[in-house]
Amino acid sequence: MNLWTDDNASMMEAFMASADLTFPWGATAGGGNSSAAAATPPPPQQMPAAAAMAPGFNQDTLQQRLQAMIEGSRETWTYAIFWQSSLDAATGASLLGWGDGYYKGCDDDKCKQRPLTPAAQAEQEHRKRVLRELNSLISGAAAAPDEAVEEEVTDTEWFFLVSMTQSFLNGTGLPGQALFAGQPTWIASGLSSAPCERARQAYNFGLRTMVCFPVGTGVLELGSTDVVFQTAESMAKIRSLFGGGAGGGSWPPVQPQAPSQQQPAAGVDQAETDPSVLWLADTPVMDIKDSLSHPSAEISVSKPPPPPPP
Amino acid sequence: MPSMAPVELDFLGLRPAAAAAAAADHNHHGSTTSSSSSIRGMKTSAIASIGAHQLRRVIVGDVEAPPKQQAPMTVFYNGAVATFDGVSQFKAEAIMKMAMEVTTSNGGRVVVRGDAFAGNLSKDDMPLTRTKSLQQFLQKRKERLSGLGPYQLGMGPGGTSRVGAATTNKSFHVKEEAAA
Repeated sequence: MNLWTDDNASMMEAFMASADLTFPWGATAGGGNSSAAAATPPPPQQMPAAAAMAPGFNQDTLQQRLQAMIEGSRETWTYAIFWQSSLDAATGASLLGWGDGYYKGCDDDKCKQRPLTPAAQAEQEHRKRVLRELNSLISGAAAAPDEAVEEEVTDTEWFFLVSMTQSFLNGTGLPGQALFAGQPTWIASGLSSAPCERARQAYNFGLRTMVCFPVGTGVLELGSTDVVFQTAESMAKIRSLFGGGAGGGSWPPVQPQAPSQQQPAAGVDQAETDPSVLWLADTPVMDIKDSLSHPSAEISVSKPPPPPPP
Repeated sequence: MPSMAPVELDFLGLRPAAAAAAAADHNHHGSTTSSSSSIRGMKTSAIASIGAHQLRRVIVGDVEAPPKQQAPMTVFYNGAVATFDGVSQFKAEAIMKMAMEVTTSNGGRVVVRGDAFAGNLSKDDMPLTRTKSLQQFLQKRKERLSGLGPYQLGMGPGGTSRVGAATTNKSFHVKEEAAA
């Protein structure tokens, strides 16, 4: 089943299914998944250990913190997603599924699809149909007609919506990798050749930057239609809002210190033991050209270079 | 990406590819179990046993329902799925009522989940996190596209102003694209 090209029925089923339903980029074995899973399997148990590991992580304020990250950043983030990690009690499998998200969108110029070829028109009709169905599902049959569903559904909106149905099993995908490695990943401009199908799909839908940051009981994902290079300031902001692992971040937000200082109040000294992340900021400017992307240079999986001077 | 094409289904798998719709129109009546017919090119063996004639009248007949009272209808039957686009509330209720009548007369069970006439899918089937996020997304999108904040978009008698604003916004978009 391919959500990107499938019809309404599969899309609605995907929304109904629990996080157990994996998708091409989340499956471990040859994309084996069934779209006819009408019976929803029981949802996996939340990781009980995770709460103990992240005592400061507060789910209640998650939405506010996601908004603060997006609206309060100098960078132009298009969306933020929090992937919630859980453990399937029966199989011991680790799963990342939709936890929460905040969509901001981008400038009209960039997001509007033009020109509208017949294929693009058909795609728009498909998206609008799904949106109408979802809208009536949420609001109930008695809802007043919503004019907003007649408006064009942009690529990034669609990507965000489809993301709600996705999950990552046992460390697959960019979010899964970040979780298992315990290391943030920042891809700016090399998205089209990333080792993760969802990341490549993101590129097709107009995104140019994707960041996955393991926090608390899951992974924070940020995406932008702009090429946003990593800065110590943005890392500090993420840490102060969400923490870097064991720490839960703080809300209301504490003003991060000057970038050169690592903030121990965030709960971990991960920044100091995390030189591979800082290394990404040193990627050469030539990587702006997508055709010259060197994915291995932009993904923090290998051993870290020497630490930066104090 | 193609829009959804009509799906051919043999619900009960009883019959190999049968005669065309034209023949079915005249030869099959009422609730004969061995009939098979097609509606808009779709094999509908099981539905035909309900009463092909009645069903066709219901599905194809009435075209007066305004578009906004029409909705897609998804039917899950015995492992097969069919989605009908543009089914009016009235038609949907009629189909479901008929299915229920046939089921009970055959000695089957009628399992009704939530509001029987709100369709097979209800938001209770969706994981809560997803429902909440979807709600927020749709609400914020409404606000964004109608150019109003949450306070102007309130419930109740805000109808007129909202429609007005939406219309204004639409023409604004049109102008934008014309200029672009």
